[in-house]
Amino acid sequence: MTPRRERRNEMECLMKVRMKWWQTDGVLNGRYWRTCARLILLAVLSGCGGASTETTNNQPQEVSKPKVEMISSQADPNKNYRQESFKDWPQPAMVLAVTGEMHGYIEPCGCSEPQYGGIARRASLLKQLREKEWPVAALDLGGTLKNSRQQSQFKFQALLAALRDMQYSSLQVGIEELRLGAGWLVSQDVPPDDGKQTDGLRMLGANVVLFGSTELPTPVRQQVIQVGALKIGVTGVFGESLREKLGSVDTNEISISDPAKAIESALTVINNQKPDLRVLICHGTLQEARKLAERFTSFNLIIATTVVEEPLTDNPEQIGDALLVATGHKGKYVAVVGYYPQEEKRKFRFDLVKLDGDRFKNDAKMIEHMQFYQDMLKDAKLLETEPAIKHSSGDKFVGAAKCGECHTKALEKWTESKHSHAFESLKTGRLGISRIYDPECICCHTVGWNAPDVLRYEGGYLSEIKTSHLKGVQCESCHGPGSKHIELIEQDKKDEANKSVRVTIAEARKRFLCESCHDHDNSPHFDFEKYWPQIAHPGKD
Amino acid sequence: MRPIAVLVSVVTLIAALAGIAWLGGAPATKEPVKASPQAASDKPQPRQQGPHPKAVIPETTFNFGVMQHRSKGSHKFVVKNEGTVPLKLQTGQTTCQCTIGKIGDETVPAGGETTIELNWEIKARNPSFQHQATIHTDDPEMLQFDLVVKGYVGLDIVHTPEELTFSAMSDLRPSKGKVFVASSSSADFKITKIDASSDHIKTEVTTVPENGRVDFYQQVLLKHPDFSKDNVPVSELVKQVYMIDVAATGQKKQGSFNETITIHTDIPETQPIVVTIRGENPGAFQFFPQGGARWYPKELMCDLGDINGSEGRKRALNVIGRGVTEALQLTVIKVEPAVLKVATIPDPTNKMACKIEFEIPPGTPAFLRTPDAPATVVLKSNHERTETIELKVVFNVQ
Repeated sequence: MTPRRERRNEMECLMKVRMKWWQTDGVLNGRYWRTCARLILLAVLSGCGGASTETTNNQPQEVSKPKVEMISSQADPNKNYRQESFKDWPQPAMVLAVTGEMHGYIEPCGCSEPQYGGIARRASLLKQLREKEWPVAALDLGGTLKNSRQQSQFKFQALLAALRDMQYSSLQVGIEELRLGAGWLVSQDVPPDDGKQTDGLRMLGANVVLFGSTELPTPVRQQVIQVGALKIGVTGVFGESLREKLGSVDTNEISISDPAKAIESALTVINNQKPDLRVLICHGTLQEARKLAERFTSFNLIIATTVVEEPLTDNPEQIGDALLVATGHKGKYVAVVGYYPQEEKRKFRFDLVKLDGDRFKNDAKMIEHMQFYQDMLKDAKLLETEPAIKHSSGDKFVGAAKCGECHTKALEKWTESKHSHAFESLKTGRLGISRIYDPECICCHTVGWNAPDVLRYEGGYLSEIKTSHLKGVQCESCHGPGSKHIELIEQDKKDEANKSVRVTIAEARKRFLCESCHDHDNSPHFDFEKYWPQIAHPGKD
Repeated sequence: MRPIAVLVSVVTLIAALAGIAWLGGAPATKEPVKASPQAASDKPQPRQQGPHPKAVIPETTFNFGVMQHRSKGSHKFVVKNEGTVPLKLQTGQTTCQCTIGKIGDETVPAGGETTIELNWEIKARNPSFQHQATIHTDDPEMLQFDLVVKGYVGLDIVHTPEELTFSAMSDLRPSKGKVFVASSSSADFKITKIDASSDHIKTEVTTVPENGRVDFYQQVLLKHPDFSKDNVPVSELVKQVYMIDVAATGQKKQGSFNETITIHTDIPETQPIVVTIRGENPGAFQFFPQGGARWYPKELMCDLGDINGSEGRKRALNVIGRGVTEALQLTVIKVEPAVLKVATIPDPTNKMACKIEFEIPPGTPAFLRTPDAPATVVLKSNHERTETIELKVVFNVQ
């Protein structure tokens, strides 16, 4: 017999043996039926167990992304600053919360979903730190605004009040702050009643001289701040590397001296008070900050601007014994530095905290400041007082109702779309704050504005009373002002009339028409092919 | 075996399998349960004891060079495992406009390698970009690493600055600034027209020579510390640059200036560039309170606040005289009521500056001056535009 045959016989024998237990005299016995019942029961139980752990509702499932706590990311295992959320830190002697380059984003940046940042969440983080009974000092690098228009002045005023409530100690004057003008800037810094220069929020700038006078209370050259049982000496400079960015400011009013000399003088004053920690805020490039850190080795912490919006790599950087820290742009992050003077090897811990809405709820006091900001815009009638520009066509806006007199189907489709409710969405808005007087919001939610530049066209939306027919995102938001089109129709010049307002889908794509409002800061996942069908409409009836 | 036994066995088996499939896979009618957020412990955890995997990433930063605005890019990074046990990888956070496309193999065998693809889109109109993604591992020596892509952005048309601000305008002389307009796509574009919203704005256009384009890009536009190291030819980023000299005259003796210029070019599919020009003509003098005083510029009123009469107090107002040709001098010619003492102190280091010091001397009895009935201080100045200054002063001596 071959081995194969032997094996086959063996299996047949085994099968015969196995078959025997459920047979009694060739008949299916009770054991057989019990076994079947057990198998079926086992199958049922297995199925039920699987069902209870899955989530279905006839809809596509969204698996939430892992909520990874944002921690310092260093690939080098020898570096000390990594992988630890501040929530896991032991009690520090002091914590520094550092922010900067907010660029006007007092609310979360819309460049991502979910959104991150905002002063309301920032205040919540600071509160969490203080609730741990950690002594906290808050410092800002400057660059708080986007431009220097009148709206920015109101925003700055609201922000100053917010920073004071968050108990910030220092705000370094940067490019955007200086562009507001020396006179205006000084008028915002009302010195404390007893004349002391060191308490409360102060604007900092050791090498910034306004009106050629060092007698003015703003900016201060240095501060020594009591934080818990420790003292920190803080000074700040406007970097040589960014001087060009100041542009056309009057040098009689704003002069920038040599940062190094200014730091030397400031350090002399600081050192007299024997601080436990020394901080340099450098509103300059990282490169310049590195050079200053190498020259002035007594600083423990240096803060600098960065070209990178989210500085998750090589942050912080170790320069000798000092840490060089960047905070990123748009207020999305707060750099939290814990100080442990008793520890030999690890005096600092670092966490670049991303301000998400899960961990950081909106602080009520900050919401008040944001409401006050909107109230200032309303009182100033900013929509009406800022200059209007001419539309390149020279034509006037007529409103969707006028278009709808002939284009009834297009009007009907528009009425069903979200575009027609864009103005109402500003009224209810985020956090219950109406933004219908805010040019930065109105420019995309009404007709007759150059959205990328936040400038009103002549004849564009002014107010609910004066221009109620221009509320929402309407026909003319994409097709341009319609007055000429109507004129040509009335003259029976149909071809010319059509040409004056026609925008094909190909043209809209090519000119990135939608992206003038659905830009990366407000509509990060915009996809023309997915969005267009929601508003696709016929031209003629 | 009897056919009935076979049949029953088969039916039982089918019923069991069908039961598993139906109950385990079919839609349920109960409320969906949200996937619970992953805690930190969901990241790959290193083994308690060795051996451990060893993550090696030959390239963590990729410099793409130049990308055009609105273009998309992707790059594959290689991750090796030089350990003796499998290496686990898990995607973490990415920066905005960046996504992790694919990880070839989330468990890299010992001695093996995998690729991780990063995808990104250049949406922001910034002259440079940097995006990154974080990957978590169970290598105890490298629990996470970052993959970075960076580069520079070609913009079909760009202008800088976005606005001009003149903080101290004068009706006597123009305020001047510069605007640069550049293109990475068109070497021979033209500025066809500049519209100014006011006759008080004059513009003049000059072409920046080729050897000036590097300076423009580095000093004015970019400010990127690594640019010179990256060896990116500026000619790919800037093909043509124009400089526009802007001169604006404040048309009022005092007040704000708020105008625009619109720059038209022949670059196809681009909108005209609008540059706002803002300025203030603050008048001959500006006042800044010191040491607890408050200043109301419209009313030209200084509030000294509450003062303890027995102790007395000093408060000060810094004055800046704009456009002075010689050191600013202020002389007190009248103070009413006499209980208020006023002195002026020129700043020897700054000819524009002078301090006005108000004093309520110690031992002053209770005295009140309100906005309706303020104290009056008249000063004579040597400023060519303003001979006298009349200030209101309010205070409450208690």
